[in-house]
Amino acid sequence: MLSFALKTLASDRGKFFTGVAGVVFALVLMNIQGGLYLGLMSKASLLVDHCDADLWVGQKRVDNVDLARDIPEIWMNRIRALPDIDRVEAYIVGKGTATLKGGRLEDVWIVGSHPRSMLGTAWGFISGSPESLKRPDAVSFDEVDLKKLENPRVGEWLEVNGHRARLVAQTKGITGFITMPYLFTTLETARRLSDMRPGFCSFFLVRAVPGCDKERLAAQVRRRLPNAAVFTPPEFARISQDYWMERTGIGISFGASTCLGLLVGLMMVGQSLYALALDHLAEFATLKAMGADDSQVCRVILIQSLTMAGIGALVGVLIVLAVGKLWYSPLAPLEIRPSLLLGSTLVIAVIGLAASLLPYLRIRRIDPAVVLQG
Amino acid sequence: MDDACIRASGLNKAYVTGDSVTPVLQEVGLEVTRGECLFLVGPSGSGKTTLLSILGCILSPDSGALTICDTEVSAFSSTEQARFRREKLGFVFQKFHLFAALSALENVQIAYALIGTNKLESRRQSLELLDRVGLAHKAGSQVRHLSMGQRQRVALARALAGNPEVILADEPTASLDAEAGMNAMHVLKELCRSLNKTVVVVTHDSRIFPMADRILRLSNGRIAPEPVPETPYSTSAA
Ligand SMILES: Nc1ncnc2c1ncn2[C@@H]1O[C@H](COP(=O)(O)OP(=O)(O)OP(=O)(O)O)[C@@H](O)[C@H]1O
Ligand SMILES: [Mg+2]
Repeated sequence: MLSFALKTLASDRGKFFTGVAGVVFALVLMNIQGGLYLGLMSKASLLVDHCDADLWVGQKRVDNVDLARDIPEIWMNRIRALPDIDRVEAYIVGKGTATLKGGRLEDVWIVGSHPRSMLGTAWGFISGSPESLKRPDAVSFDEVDLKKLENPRVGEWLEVNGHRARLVAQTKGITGFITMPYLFTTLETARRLSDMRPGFCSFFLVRAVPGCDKERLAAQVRRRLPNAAVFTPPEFARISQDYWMERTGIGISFGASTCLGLLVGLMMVGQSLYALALDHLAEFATLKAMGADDSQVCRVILIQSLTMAGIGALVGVLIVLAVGKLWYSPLAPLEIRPSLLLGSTLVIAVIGLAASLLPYLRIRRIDPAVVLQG
Repeated sequence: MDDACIRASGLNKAYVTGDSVTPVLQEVGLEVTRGECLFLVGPSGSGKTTLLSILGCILSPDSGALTICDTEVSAFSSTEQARFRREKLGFVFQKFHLFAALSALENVQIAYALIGTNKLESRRQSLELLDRVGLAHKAGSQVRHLSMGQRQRVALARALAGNPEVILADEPTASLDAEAGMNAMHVLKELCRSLNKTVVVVTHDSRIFPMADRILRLSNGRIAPEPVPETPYSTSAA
């Protein structure tokens, strides 16, 4: 039975490859679309994901790490003394307008970290370091934004909100959801460049004592700061991503195109299986005349479809992994996740099962009597 | 229990297409003894294939009784029919109906697969059957590389796979030239006799009439009353 199913499948290379190609197509599409979506979403929580804080404390109604609201720094005193807290630092995520050499204006984010730890500062330095950002008026800029900032070089000056800032470091790969350039610096410089009111900041970054229960600590902080929002990094990352997802409907467009891809894949597998079954109707009729029952006939089709699904999935996974290795685009990062690979492989298995339904129903209708009359 | 392997009485069958009803078999009764080789002959359209399909549990009669190997099969559901076919019956078709992508050996093995015989055992028995039809040396060949006569002998081995009680053949020589046809019939006849299989053959081919133990003539859906005058096949003379 197995060899009948497989050899019949192998005897028709055209249909076999069409089916496998359908599976490869569907699987690669799911993972690339899904990976681009995850990559895009991860840009919405870029600052959170690259910061080593254990808790984020922000204004009560904050719902996005980039669009922060001011909170009074004095609140920090209420939680400093908690035994599980190692240190609390102010953090600024502010906005500014840079005036470029040619007179053009460009909106920028200004991110200021406490100089003691530089927690939440830039990463991926290709020139300079967090240390160089501690110099007066020093900021970093990213390679991605070279064009937007009119190709500045390290050492040049930039005017932000009418204040002078010096570009001392360059990074690679830091770009957020709204694609405004990030300028990383210290709290003090950030306060000046973003015109932050004295005594206020955007967030408190909390570092906990090693080994303490973060959820419990979060609860303690919430109790002490009833007017603040307290998040663990995964929570805040999710909230920041949801913010854009709900406002842009980006999930729907990615989801819809992925579904279309799945449909095309399903049709390719189904069509080749069905055509294969039609070509071999006489053989299926013979099997039935010989006494094969429906479950045995069904097994033949399932073996064929799952073989195509299995080979296609294997090829697809290899392609996805290769693409993931070769892909580099900070503006459209691709995030290949094992869970997504696994999930899409399961979807492929379901597609294989669904694709066998039509040929199965067709073959079920065959009357074995045709073998004698033919 | 008596010696009749197949016992049919009062079989009626009509094909219904749309509004028209074509009666094909009327009050057909017959008995085939265990180990007997019966030929069904008659003009085209007389209902031979229809009768063979009913005896083969592929079609159900509209009415009448049919007992095969002491089992009343006329009221079987299609699932019961399928099970009965794979366990008790073997078929040989005019156009062989071998599986094109498989070797001669695999074509025989698939009949064992249907009844759940394990791979090793089915391989052993299939090779033995191919040997008995004179094709042991072609076991690994793709069936498309075999001659017509060889293909029909593979089909015969496949029909015998799983040790069925009854072999049913519809025009087994019609796709073969005279020599290959005679040869295939010889193999069928001898093999079934040595294995004590009951055989029903539908044929137009008068050259093979002498191989029948008995010949029944079907005419307009009825068994013709007069005995057929051909000389019976004598094995002792062969
Ligand atoms: N599926 C069917 N639907 C309607 N009529 C059918 C069907 N099968 C056979 N018939 C009719 O039933 C009659 C008997 O057919 P059957 O095939 O049994 O004859 P036969 O004796 O085997 O003929 P031949 O020698 O040509 O093979 C014919 O008139 C045929 O047209
Ligand atoms: Mg016929």
